[in-house]
Amino acid sequence: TLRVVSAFPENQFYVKRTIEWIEKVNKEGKGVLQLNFIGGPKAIPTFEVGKAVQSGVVDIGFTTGAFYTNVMPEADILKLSETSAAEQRKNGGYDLINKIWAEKANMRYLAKVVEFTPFHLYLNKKIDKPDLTGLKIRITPVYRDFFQAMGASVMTTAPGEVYTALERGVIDGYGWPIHALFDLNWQEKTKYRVDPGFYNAEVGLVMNLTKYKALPQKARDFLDQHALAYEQQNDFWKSYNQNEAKRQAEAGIQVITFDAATNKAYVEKANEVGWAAAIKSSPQYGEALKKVLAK
Amino acid sequence: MQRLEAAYARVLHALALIACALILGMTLMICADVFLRNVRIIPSMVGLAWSSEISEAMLFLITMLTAPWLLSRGQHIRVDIVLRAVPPIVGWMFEWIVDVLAFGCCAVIMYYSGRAAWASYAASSLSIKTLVTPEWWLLSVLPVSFALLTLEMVFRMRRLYLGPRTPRDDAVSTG
Amino acid sequence: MLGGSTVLLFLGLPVAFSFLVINLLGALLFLGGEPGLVQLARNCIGSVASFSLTPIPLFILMGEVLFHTGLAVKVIDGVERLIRQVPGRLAVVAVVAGTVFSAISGSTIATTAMLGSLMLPVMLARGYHPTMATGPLMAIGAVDMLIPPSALTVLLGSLSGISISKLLIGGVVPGLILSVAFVVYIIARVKMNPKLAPPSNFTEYHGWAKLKPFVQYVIPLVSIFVVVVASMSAGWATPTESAAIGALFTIGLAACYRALTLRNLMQSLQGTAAISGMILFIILGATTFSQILSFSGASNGLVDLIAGAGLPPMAVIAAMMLLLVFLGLFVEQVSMMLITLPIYMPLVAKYGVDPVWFGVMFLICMQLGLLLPPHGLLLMTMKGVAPPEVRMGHIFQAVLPYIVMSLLLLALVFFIPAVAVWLPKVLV
Ligand code: NA
Ligand code: NA
Repeated sequence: TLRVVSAFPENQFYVKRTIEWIEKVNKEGKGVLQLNFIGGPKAIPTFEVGKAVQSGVVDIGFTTGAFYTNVMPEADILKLSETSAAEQRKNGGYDLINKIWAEKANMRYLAKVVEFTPFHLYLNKKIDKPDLTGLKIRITPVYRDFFQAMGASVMTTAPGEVYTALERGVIDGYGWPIHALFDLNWQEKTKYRVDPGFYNAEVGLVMNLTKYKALPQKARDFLDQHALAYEQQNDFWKSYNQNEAKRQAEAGIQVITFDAATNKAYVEKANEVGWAAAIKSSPQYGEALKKVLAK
Repeated sequence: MQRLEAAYARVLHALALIACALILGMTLMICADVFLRNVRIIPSMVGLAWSSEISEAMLFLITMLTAPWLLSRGQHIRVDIVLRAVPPIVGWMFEWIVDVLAFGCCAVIMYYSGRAAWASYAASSLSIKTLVTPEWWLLSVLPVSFALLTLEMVFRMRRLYLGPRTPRDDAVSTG
Repeated sequence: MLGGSTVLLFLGLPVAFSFLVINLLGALLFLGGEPGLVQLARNCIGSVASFSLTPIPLFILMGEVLFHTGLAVKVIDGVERLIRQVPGRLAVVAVVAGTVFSAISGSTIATTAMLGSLMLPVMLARGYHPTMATGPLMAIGAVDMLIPPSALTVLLGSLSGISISKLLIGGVVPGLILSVAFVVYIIARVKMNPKLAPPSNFTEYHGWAKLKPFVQYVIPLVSIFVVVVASMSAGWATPTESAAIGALFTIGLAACYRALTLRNLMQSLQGTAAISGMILFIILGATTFSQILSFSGASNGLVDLIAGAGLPPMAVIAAMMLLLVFLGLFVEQVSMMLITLPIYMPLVAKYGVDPVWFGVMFLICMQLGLLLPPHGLLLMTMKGVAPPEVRMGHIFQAVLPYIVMSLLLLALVFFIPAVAVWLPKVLV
């Protein structure tokens, strides 16, 4: 039996989907492989899930790259993917990722199960050009370099404090994926979303490599095959995210957008800043990853 | 031995004084953050973005700096209901049991937190939040503090050996 | 695991170490040996390096400054001049002054020690019976926990995930109800048995002399309370930030009164470091404990067991409160929270009850724990500052009526949730 922990709380939509997947694996894997879902951050703190997988305290972690940059800086680079997971399986990207993950983190990257999900800048003050000078923006490391490059003064707060901070004008905006706003009720205190989105949210299943290698061939194939099947459902996010955008509009969130040239420059700037930071943080693999992730 | 113990108590007290300075510093820093965010006297400074992150680290440092000092002053709260109910000599023997356990516990944590810090240093792991800092900066505080606790445990057992054969009068509550 | 830590606890191992010893075993068993122990060490940092815990030292600092700078005496003086001749006048003064302290101090020990060392000698000298002299002081010390600022409330909010602002504000009404009930009880009791508190002469002031110390000291100090609560509810600051502002404000006021010296500032800081250090070190041990408990599957198992038993939710909530009161007989507040919350909060979520309501009841139970013989913290604090003629028996006897009143308040909040949730709904 392999032990699975999640870096996201149990009640989050991502996790519910993964628990369903685990149940399916367990049903079909009787006698071959069983997964035991241990729980969320209450069992292993969010930013320790990566370390716990690396050291083998748990076997499989359900997490996103930004949560385990303390294991290796490369983890956060996956957000810059422009190619899809399916394309990366073909263009050598998936193999490269697994080479790096094995070497630096003792991990096997099983599958990417959230993608086609851009990040957006959400604001409470209107802007007419991509310039955030004088605005206070709540960030996670994902957005830090890009928003700073646009002149924002950035701050980090606990997710639980964001609602209050918005309500009280402590912050003027924040970066977040297109979906998962409603879980936190932030739509109530958000006026604008800046389109286009940038980057591509990545949430994946990573496994301790030693444990992976120790699995019998049959169990390993079974796991790979089910992980791949889970990844192949990622088109789900395309329609899901369209729906989320619709819901945001219904909740009164207006879209700020610029002219086509500015929009293009905005996304290019995000990528440029993102890759510059990525190559700086990983001189060893930054360029190589760019070849397979960027378009 | 006596003098060594007294000198050690002074070291622990000095660490506690650093913790006091951190508490005062934390108060001033958070107030400065609120002030700068609401009154824009310095145009380029809209609050101190790193203030919450630094105060988190300070909280951890306060904990680790005061723990050995509190132990030397018998201020780590405990439940003494049973210790008081049994005959003093039995209570005294209970004290030995728990001292040995606590000594072992501190030593084990010292060792493994030392390994955690070393591994993090060797892998040059970074903590990437608002500030980018080497992870071992905070991790290395753990083995130091638990080493001090382990040593204090030795002195504590010496005092128990020399003192009257009854349980100690340690603190029993916080507020 | 729960059993193991309880045994160690009763052997007299300090609370924090009891958790740590069991954590080592738990890490070996459930987290897979050596890597688990390394992981345990890593988890220690995050358990206390958490922004939601920062108000704790700041609130404690407020109480310590008040205590060490001697501003407390001025508050008692200001309150005393305003209160006319009533039965048990000094006890009433103590309750009113204690309520004022509660609104400035975030530490129940500081409040009780302060009142005990200042008011108790006076009351005993005027012929008050020891039970009438000590009871109100301890009772009002406990109320300090309900009325913001309160370090333990912050901790409850941070550990349970209930909104800290709402909890702090939710404690105000129940706290005030208790204060009023205490005053009514004292007057009624002394009327029935005047020997408990012989009336004594006191200088009756008139005009400005009557009001001066109140205006000069009490009003500015209470304004600190207003600053803390208002900055939180009106939206200028988070609980952490308002705690820092409150602490700086208190130090500033003490300086304005020329009551602040380097020496008493140092004393206040050391007192703060000691109390915060104790609490934080327990949190370090206990948070990692609950992580391992969660990892082992024990917490989920217990939660499912209780939730699956098909009991009416209100009965389960009532049972949870009774268990808390019972725990309060043996262990102190921080451990009360750390032991029960990993099981309680998932149940609260499952039953869909209002967490603020639940949290305020939790606070009342903890407040009771401060007063319960034989171990209540405030009983010990009182014994510590009282002259030797006040015996432990007096103190146990003195506190009983106030325990009954707190239990009645618990029942009141249980049956009429509005008592707890109305104010936070209006303000936050
Ligand atoms: Na208070
Ligand atoms: Na308090």
